[in-house]
Amino acid sequence: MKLTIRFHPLLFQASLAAGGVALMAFNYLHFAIPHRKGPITLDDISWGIMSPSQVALYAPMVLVMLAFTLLNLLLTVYFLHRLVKWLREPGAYRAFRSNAQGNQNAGIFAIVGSLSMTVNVFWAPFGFFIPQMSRHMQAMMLPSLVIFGLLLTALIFLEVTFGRTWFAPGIDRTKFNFVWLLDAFAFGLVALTGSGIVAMASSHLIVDIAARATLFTLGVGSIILLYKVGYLTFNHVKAGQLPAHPVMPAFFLIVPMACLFGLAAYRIENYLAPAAGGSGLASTLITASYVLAVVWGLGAIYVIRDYFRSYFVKSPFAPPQWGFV
Amino acid sequence: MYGFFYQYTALATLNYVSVYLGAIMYGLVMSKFLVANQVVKEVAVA
Repeated sequence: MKLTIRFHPLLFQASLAAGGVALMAFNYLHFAIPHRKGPITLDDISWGIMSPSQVALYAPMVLVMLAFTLLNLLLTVYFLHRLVKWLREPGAYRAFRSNAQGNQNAGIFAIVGSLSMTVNVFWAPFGFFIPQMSRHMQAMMLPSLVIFGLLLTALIFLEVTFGRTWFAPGIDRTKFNFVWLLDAFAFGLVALTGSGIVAMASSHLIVDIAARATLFTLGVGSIILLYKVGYLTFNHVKAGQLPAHPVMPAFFLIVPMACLFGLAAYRIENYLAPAAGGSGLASTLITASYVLAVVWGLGAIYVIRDYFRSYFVKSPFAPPQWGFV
Repeated sequence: MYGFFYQYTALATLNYVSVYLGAIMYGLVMSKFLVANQVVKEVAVA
């Protein structure tokens, strides 16, 4: 099917969300099924010795993961093709960048976020279906480090470039909404990629470089996240009203972000643990992040309950709706 | 990682349920997106 909708960086949210579902399914299988060292692969699952209830539990999960892995990879290729065409349109990127009112240009960060997600999909769910690839994971660590470096560089470049537009004179930041958090989301996804290298690579040099860069990413991302969440929450409370219906789902962006920052910090803490004397901080970090995700998710459902009751089902498409996934 | 995650059955359940919830929400949002795309296509043809 050909997409007629004009290209917008927020289109990348579709591939990002598909990658998220695939990765969640992988995460479940990886931790639920005993397997050899390294990421779980299809070869590790002995269907023949499983009970019917176990097969009923795991088989649909594998199918869901396959569908969303393919969706992530196909959409990424298609959107990259559209992105290149968009960048070639004279003035298109510049016009988009300068449109900072209501943080409308924050969508640019969906591109970096989605590409980071695709790297993780490639390592985990894609590697699940191609066991040979998973067995030769170490050969992919150097290219992965290079891609991680490119994503981080692009992210810093975009943060500086677009950050200037948000704080330019004449921009009314009180009209900003939770879509503004997409850059912090991208920092979380890039940190997840970096911490994945830290967790998987056996080369000390690669691990060391990835760990330092991930720590930097986590640090910058956390500062941005805390500042923006504080600012937006204050503004919403001060205004005493919810944002317009189409941007309401953006409240849910905090949920995946909490998990991403928590998981990346958990992996980095594990790397630093020998020096820290194994303080148990890692477990606290990830538990706290999951608790925050659940509490925020439930709180967001409560705050926008009317949106679900009377608006969502019949509403037209709005990009922030990907935030639900 | 195993011990950490799966000593909490609640986390495993949450993970399992969230995959299907995510897939359902994805289907809903994607269908809205395709409808919006169809509207754009019809407007372009008209």
